[in-house]
Amino acid sequence: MEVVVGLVVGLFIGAGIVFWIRRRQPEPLSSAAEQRRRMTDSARSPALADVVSDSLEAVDLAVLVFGSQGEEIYRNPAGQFPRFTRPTRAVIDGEIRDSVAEVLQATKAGAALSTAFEREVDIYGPPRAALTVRALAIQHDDPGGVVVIVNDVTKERQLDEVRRSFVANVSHELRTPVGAIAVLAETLTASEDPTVIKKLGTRLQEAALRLGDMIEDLLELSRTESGTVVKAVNIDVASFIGDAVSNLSESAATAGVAVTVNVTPPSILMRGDARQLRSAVQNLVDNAIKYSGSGSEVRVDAAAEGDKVTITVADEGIGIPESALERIYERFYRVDGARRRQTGGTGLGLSIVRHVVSNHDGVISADSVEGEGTTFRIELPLADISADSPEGNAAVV
Amino acid sequence: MDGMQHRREYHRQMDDLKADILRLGGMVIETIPRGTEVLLTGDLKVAKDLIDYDDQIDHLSVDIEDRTYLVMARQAPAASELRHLVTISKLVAELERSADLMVNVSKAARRMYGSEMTPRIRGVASSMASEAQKLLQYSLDAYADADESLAAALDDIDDKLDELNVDMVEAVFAAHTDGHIDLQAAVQLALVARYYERIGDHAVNIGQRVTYMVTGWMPEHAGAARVESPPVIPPIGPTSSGAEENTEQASDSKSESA
Repeated sequence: MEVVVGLVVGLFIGAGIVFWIRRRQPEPLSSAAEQRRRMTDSARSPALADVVSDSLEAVDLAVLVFGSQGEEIYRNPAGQFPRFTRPTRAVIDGEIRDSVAEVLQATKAGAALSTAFEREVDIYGPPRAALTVRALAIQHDDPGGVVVIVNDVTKERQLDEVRRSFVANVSHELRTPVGAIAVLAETLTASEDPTVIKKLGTRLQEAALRLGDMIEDLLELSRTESGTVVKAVNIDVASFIGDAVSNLSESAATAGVAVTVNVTPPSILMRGDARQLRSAVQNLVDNAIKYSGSGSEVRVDAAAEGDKVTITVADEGIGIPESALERIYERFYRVDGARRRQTGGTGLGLSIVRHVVSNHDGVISADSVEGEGTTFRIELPLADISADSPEGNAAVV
Repeated sequence: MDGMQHRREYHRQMDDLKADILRLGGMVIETIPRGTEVLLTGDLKVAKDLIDYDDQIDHLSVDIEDRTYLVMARQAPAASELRHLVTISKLVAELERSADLMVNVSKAARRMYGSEMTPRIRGVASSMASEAQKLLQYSLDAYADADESLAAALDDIDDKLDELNVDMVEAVFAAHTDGHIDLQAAVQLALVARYYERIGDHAVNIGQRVTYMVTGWMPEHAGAARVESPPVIPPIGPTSSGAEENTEQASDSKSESA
């Protein structure tokens, strides 16, 4: 959709450039050019040309104009591709020059003026990007030229990918336990051996619990996604961190992981939803424990500094590949299939964390080196504490 | 007038060559994250894309090299311009070879398809990739800006990649000893480390070529000078005039090449 809008805008701008350039570079007119000029005269005005040139400077779309020999005449600021490194820019420029040559050649061979040449350029970067390069001939005869419009479609591609994998994942995640429950129940009704019945019953229970967890997490996610802080009360940071860690003490002990908490100063008061914040910290610590080896340490630190509090959860676990760091907050995203089998979470934890943090106007970031560990960092603003609610210290669970 | 036009045509050809060598460099740098993705995720589509991409790189390399020779033959450039053209033809070879190394990385990934790397190996491998990418980027910056000091610094910057190479081999040995990966995977991973490390060496070579382009001198010239006039061990006792002559010659050839 946005690509289409981009194209329409691009074509409009392209047409504008033709007027603009011709205004700037008056040339002796051939009879065909004269005719065209008369046709466009009514649409041309100095004011229009100014508007076009101003908007070209401001627009996000990269617009470039080339002359009949393929020489560059104009390039707007977006056409400098400032977010890429110089070698990457050279690659993009090369693709553009190829497009221009392609159009000039086709025009010479008599292709229709409106024939647009489009190519996609995948950049692995960093930054990773997807671009579409569209090139259009301005006019056939001299001094014709080519307008090139480069659209950054990175976001669209990413959203597409996220949507596709979400639909695939949610159906898979819900169907697997339901399928298991159906099969187990069917076998259970047919069996008479008490040991078999007990074994099947246990597995049935596990599958049902897993399904329950999944639905609980999806509900939690949709609650946090609604974007409102449900209960903003005065709460103590140490208290919701303490609750989160103590809820996980058993799984930490089973995994042989030591969890240490350090809050400085010991009491930091903030406004927020205690249940949401507890669940965010709990999800982070839960992940840290899951992906750590026995005997390692998980450190939860909170420190108030100025008008914000920074909570970090650091582990010495397997780490996250750099390429995956951007995607880990997506629902059901897993770095690889093997992790899912080993740890069996629902795949929704980090999505919940991110939504909780953004509900509290905070920022979440992660640093990781594979094989050395991961550190998640949440920064939350310390808004003025209002004196209304003394219930804060007892975090509502 | 004709001469002017001829000159203008020559400058246009030089500008095109410069733009294309940077494009080639950019494309070769692109192969590093691509090949590394194949290594870390086993994505076969990216592997296939990389091989197609390498064909484009080869195509552009051949094209640049042909045009370089044409300019040399037709325009008879002299002094710094000739050095620039020679540098371009050498850079093409270094860059093209670096892209081949990344294709080798993805081939190694295919040979060990299905065997799980340890997180430590994955971590070192991605550090090596970004370090190799950084080095190539610097070397191209040095070329584009004719930056002699950056070119000279590349050798030292490359030390980091050499250290990572050692780390990688250690991590591979450790993983093999602990039974995480089989011998085939261990050998492939050791080679992968070597491929990344070699890309760093190519970047250092590019730096040396840039130094040559700017100054006309290369580190190799020091060694070459030693062969031409070996250092003379001063004889014991009263100095003969012949030995003095020799020493003079040695310092002469040095200052010449500098």
